[in-house]
Amino acid sequence: MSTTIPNRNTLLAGFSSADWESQRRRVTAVLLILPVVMMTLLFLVPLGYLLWLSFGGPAGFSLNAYKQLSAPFYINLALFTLQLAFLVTIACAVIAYPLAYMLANIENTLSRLVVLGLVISLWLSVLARTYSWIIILQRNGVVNNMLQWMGITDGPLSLVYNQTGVYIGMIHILLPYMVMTLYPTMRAIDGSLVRSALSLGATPWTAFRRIYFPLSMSGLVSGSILVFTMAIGFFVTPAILGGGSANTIVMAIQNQVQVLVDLPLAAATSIILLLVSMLILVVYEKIAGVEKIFGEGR
Amino acid sequence: MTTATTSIAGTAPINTRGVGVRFEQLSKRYGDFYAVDSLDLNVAPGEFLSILGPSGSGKTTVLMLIAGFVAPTSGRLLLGDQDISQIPPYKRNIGVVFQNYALFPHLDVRRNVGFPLEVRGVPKDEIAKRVNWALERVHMEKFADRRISQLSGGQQQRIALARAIVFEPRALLMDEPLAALDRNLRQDMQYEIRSLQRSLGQTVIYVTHDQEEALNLSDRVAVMNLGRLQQVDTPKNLYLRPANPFVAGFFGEANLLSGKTQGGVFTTDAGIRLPVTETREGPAVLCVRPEMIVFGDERKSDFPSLTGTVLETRYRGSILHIELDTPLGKINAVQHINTTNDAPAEGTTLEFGWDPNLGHVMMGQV
Repeated sequence: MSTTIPNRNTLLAGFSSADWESQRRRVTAVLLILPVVMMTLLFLVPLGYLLWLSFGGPAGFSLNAYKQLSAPFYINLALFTLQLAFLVTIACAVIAYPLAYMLANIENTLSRLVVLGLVISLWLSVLARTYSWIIILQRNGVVNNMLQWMGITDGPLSLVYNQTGVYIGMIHILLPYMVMTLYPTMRAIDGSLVRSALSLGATPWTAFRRIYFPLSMSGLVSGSILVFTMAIGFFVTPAILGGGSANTIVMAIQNQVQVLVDLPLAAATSIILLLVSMLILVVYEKIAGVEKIFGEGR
Repeated sequence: MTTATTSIAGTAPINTRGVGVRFEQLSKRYGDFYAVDSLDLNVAPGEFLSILGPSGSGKTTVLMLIAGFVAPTSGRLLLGDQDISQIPPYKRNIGVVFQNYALFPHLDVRRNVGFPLEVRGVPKDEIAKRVNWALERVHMEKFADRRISQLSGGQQQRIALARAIVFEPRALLMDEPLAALDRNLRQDMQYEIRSLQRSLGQTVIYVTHDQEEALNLSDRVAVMNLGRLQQVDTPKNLYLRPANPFVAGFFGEANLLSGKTQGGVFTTDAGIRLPVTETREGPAVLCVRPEMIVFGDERKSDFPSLTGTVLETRYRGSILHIELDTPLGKINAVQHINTTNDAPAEGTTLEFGWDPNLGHVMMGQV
């Protein structure tokens, strides 16, 4: 003890503050063991296994799988998947933004019902929601009957078992995620900021463009990242509503595993998909990231 | 000359005087409820006027009416000689300082202060000049490139003030701008706001629930309660000549006696006759401030003999508070503490009175 007068710490526990500090660190380390073990078992080990498998696995090292992937067939598949995910993300953002704005800024029964509807749709199985679209969009479905009854079209349009159906279904299924990410961000925007902008001479449109929209940007970015990553790995909806005309990378992986029984090829495809997704997220974060808006200066 | 709504041209002198604000029978009704009821008020150009009232008094609605976020149900609101009651907020040219500052978190200090000029299409170099000018006025020129999150509450307050004056508004509107600051800082800022207002000749309408702040800052204070204007007067008159019991009770303590007055004599409901200077007659309330109560020999000889029993004494800093049970009811008195008098013991009987010139008669019943 450096001092003869017992201070509060020594009286309380007989520890010096340095003892306390190291004790605290030990507890922290113990508490961190569980999440670290979970992460290792659930993510790092399977990912390492997948990587190992993609380079030949038990049969010995080979780049064969990756060479197969450079074929035009796979390149086109990848490009279509990216295009699908990109357009679905854009569409979700465009539809979700005004919807979330209404929910966040207007308190009435309608907006409460819409929130309820969105939450319920998140609970429903994606499979059930996908099959519902077949009923709605098929040649004798509600939409086609309605269009013909109103005289807008002469014969039934093909809305399902093609790319149109895939887009409709995916936008519908992913929309709630975008709304639910935007909503809290918009709720958190202080209403006095827009009022303040108005009082300072900004028209409502300028106030939205210069104040509200930039402040809602972080929600739009995280919503887009969420929807894009989900869209790029979507399987059920394109498989069912696409009718073979909207093949994505994930469907190819399924084919490689179940039909071709080529596990190294499936593993390599998965690894490439993962890398491409990560690359896109990094680029997106650089362009429109939260850091850009709130980070250090211009 | 440009039109009034698009004032701010680069050539305008920096020291323009504010214009007057006039409320003519202005009302705002929500259903059957009058948030603001027939407000008549005239704010002179360059005047510092506070709107003071407890919560629910309608002062916030008045603020929203002036800023333009709420449209009046009836009546007119004139800024200078222009009726602005139907003009949208962004065309009013009133600088508003919000309670929580409402600085834009994604813009730095310079862009925040420059915002009102940017949206008016002022050229860049002119904006830079004006922003520097405004920041100097609030002693924040060194902070121009900071982010809002890097500023303390007091500094944010100054930036909000700079942003509200940079476009030379025709009037400044402040909504409890100091409520979030600690006591010492609040007093410094009161002084700064006052001196800034004086040097700019700005008309300021300052909304607050804090009596002390309103009295410290204002040329005149408009007291509101339950949607109605109670009294508009100088701080001195609000204390010494309150218009009604609400105002009397709102500024400090008051002994209120109800009764009627006639020919310089006030007769309480209990029949006690007290000399007053009031010459009107009719039912009235007599207001006597606690510090006007004097004891024993300090009383004027012509004052009727009144005695009271000490119920309780309390030291509150530099003053001694005495509560008396008297024929007039409970009377509160305060005395400045000096070495010669100790607090009277509880139960002691004291002779008391006051200078009839200091008693204030408010006509009308309680």
